[in-house]
Amino acid sequence: MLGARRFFIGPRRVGVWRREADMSDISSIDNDEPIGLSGRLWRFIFPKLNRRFFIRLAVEALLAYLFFAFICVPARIHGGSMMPTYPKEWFDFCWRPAYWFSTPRRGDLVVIRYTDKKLYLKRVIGLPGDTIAFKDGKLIRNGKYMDEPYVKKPSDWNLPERTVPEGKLYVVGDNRSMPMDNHIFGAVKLKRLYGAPLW
Amino acid sequence: MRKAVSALLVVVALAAAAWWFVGGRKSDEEKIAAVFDRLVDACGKAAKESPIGMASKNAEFSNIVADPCSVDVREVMIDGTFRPLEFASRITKGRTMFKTLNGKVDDLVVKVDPGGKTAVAEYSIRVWGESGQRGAFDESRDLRSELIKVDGKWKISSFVVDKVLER
Repeated sequence: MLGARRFFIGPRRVGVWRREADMSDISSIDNDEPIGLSGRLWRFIFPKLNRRFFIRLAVEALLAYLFFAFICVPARIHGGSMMPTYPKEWFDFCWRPAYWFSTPRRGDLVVIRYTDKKLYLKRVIGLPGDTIAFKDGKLIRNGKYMDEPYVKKPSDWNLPERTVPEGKLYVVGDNRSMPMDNHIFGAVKLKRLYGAPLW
Repeated sequence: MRKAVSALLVVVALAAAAWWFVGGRKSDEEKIAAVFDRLVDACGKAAKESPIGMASKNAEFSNIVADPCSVDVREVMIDGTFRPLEFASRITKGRTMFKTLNGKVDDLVVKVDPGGKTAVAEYSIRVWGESGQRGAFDESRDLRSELIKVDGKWKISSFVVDKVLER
């Protein structure tokens, strides 16, 4: 059986491929005896650089890439259009599956894809068919004044009534105290919906 | 044995010809996507671009835009209805405002009419680079274009541009 490979699976042990001929070289942590916390920590920090380790490393790297590139995308918030809900500079993750099986509701926080590398964090205030207007900073949706607890500062926005077209959402930031002309908001195509902030 | 090898070679040759014939014939959607790729290349500007390169890009517009082509992008400078040469002249003029200009077409959805003579394309275009006045920029717009088939080639007959977030 010289040269045959065996796969050791013991209690709380990482499996190790070994040639039988090399068994005499196995250190104490490869024995069947359970290893202590310090031994496991030592093995975690200084793993054996064998083929199994590198395969596992490659698989984990691939999974991490797929997760952070397509599922939970890290994003840096830059700008004060969502204050005070989010500070001017912040870090968050965009949870992309948030709207894979559902559509946004009024009041939801959503991430909009502007370009490949530029995303907008906004709040949904109108769905297709809704009418939207601002009068003295107050939101009027479908002819009714809306209470918006997330808007903390006074606003003087005035915007004539408009209807949200089919296939679009009407989004706006929470910081209505900034001049309306400096605030990027409006109707955006549903296909640009990228996800929702994780927190 | 020789007959079997010969027959096999004939079958392989026929399969290769069929594959080439099917693969070589692009669908209308693919042809239209190629038109937009050429448009983006023709409008772009590299950091160091030779006058010959610029001239060849301008000549390409006659293969990309129809005669006439209407433009409604809400920019006074390039809005209107133009012939291909006028279109190229406007683009050249606009290009001088930029040090570098790059573009990329995304989310292209093409609907070809049953007759196969006209089509409508909805897409977004990302434009980035460096301008003399504003410095680096990176912007995106949603567009809708109509295309017509002229002498077997798809050409763009109109551009209508929407902002990504339209108040």
